[in-house]
Amino acid sequence: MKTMHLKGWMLSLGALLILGVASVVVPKQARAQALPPQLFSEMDGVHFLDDGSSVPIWGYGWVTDGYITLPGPLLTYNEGQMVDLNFTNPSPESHTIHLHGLDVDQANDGVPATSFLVPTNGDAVYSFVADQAGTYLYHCHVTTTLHLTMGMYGMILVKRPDLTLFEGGPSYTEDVPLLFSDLEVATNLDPVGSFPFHDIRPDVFMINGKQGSQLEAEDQRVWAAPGDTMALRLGSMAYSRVRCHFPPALHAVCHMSDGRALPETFAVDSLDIFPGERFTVLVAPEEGFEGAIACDFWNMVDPGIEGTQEIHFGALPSSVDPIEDFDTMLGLGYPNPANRWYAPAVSATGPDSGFQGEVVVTNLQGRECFRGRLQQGRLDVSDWPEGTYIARCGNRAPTRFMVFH
Amino acid sequence: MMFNRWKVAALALISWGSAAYVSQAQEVPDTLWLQLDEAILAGDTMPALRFCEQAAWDSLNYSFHMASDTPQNLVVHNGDTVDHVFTLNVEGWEPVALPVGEATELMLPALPTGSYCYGLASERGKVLGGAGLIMVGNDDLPHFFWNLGDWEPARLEAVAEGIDVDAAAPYVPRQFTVNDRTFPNTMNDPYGYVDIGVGTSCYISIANQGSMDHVLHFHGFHVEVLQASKHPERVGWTKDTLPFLQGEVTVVRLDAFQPGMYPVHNHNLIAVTNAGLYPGGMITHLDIQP
Repeated sequence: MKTMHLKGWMLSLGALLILGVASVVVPKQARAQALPPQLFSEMDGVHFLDDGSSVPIWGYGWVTDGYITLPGPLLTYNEGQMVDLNFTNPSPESHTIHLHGLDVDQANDGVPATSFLVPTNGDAVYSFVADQAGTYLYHCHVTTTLHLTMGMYGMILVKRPDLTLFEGGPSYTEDVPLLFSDLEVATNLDPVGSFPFHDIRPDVFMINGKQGSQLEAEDQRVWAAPGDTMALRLGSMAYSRVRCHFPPALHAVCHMSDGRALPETFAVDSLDIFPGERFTVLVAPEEGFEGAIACDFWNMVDPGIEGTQEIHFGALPSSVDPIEDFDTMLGLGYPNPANRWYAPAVSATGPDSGFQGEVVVTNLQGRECFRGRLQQGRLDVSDWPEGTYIARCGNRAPTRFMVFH
Repeated sequence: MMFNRWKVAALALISWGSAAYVSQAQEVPDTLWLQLDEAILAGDTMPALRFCEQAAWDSLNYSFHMASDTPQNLVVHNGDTVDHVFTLNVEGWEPVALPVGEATELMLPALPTGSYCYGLASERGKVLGGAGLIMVGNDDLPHFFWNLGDWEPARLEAVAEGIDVDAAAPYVPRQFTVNDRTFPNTMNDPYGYVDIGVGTSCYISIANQGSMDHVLHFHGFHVEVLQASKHPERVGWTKDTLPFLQGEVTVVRLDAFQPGMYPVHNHNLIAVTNAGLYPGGMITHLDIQP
């Protein structure tokens, strides 16, 4: 049991030399990429706050989009999927992706001293098996204290195709990813001058990068129809402790934490989420419920509430009848699958960009996802959950299309 | 046991003072010496109280293992400049006065399997860091421990001079420790640096004896919560990120299913710094041998 080893001193030296100096490349090099990069990082983003001001951010984005977001894109995989996450870094500093909670091996862990750095203009592939359904996070692990507060993080969902939380677990109708985070404006305005890092104290508190009235917008609300059971995927990249207060009308029950089923579920009226933790809470809103989950952000050093944000719920009417003639449906949307735009199709090979009528899109549960007229004949589905959707364009026969990111 | 500690020290010197060894228990001592001196953490020098195994100053509090359900006599010398009260976070424990300059004999009670904090009741004792862990039972596997602390040197200086903490003043800790060490010195810690073989398991006892809450994230692994003194509902959960409220004692079991070197660190990321410099502070490692 008592075995001597040399890694200890090697790492202690190496950590000082490497962890703090982001531009040094560790010989554990990135592997050649077999696929085009999916994610990229940049350090020139801008994030708009609720008061209309903006702060500089660093972050991740889809290569196909060409811009970074706060938080980074939601990464969704199926349970058991073998994943090659392709990453490219055109930014002026080195970065990594740490797959927080996925228990990947050392080589893919995203820690510069023990894994590898992705230098400026470097590419990398992070390979792992998404072997346990659940809620996870990702973030840069270079000078982590700074790179995280600058915005280099996002959420990962590992899902089961049958919409159960885990094998033998409860079923649900929809995932609702909710990522808590915060930032200190002064740090983002002057990251180089923000040293020392031990006195970073956040003053902006966010849910999915939004705050205040931004969270009341239609596209930020959680819409529930009667009978819906929503899986709230709660995760924190904050420097604060977040306490969520669940209204009784949500009938909230906690089933999972950190990507693992709990031995016993428990009803939730309030829930503390510490930095890095995740919880999966099923809610079944009472019919017509329109309210909010209040989320207090507590200072971790001097306990006190620094800010409160709300997750707003809206009520949908009863779901439309589920599609029953799916197998006989002929039309296909364009492109199919889509990852950014959907357009009605005149054939499987071309869009009907001239369609001017009302379009109604539902998912396979019959939930209405969109109703309205298309702008420039196209519908933006870039932030839609992966899945199959049914589009009804005026009096035409329904068409189906898949969203796949 | 003394031979083992000598061997650790000798090998550490041979390998430039930074080798790590798999922990075996430090035995329950006959005597603990509460001493006031200075600790140096990543360039900050600050007054410190420590429970030492010997009369000589040691900047590391002494944590130890006890057999379960077995009482144990313990003598505590109070080498500080003021009286103290010895505490043990065990229900029904009657605090024991430690008059200044005297040796006080006390009886550690028969305790069930689990881990416990001992320390001092006063603000001075807590702020200056006189506190350790007692691990009872859980001796069928290697058993490591992480005694977590946070330190604001100016506050320690004031308290050492007898000035009460200004409750309204913001707390701005500059140093964050595991077993009274900051990273990378945590790599030298024979009791905190987890060095085991793949396919084996170990226990880790974790106590938050600091002045704020902490949260640790395990890379590469989930652990099973066996004890969580302030989160009893979490016993049996499997987690990769665990919170530790002030004064909380937690025991987890790690099953090392894959080889490699994996950090464990505070995910309140101000605490992975030394005087504000990254990386440092509350970082240690799991070194899983193939």
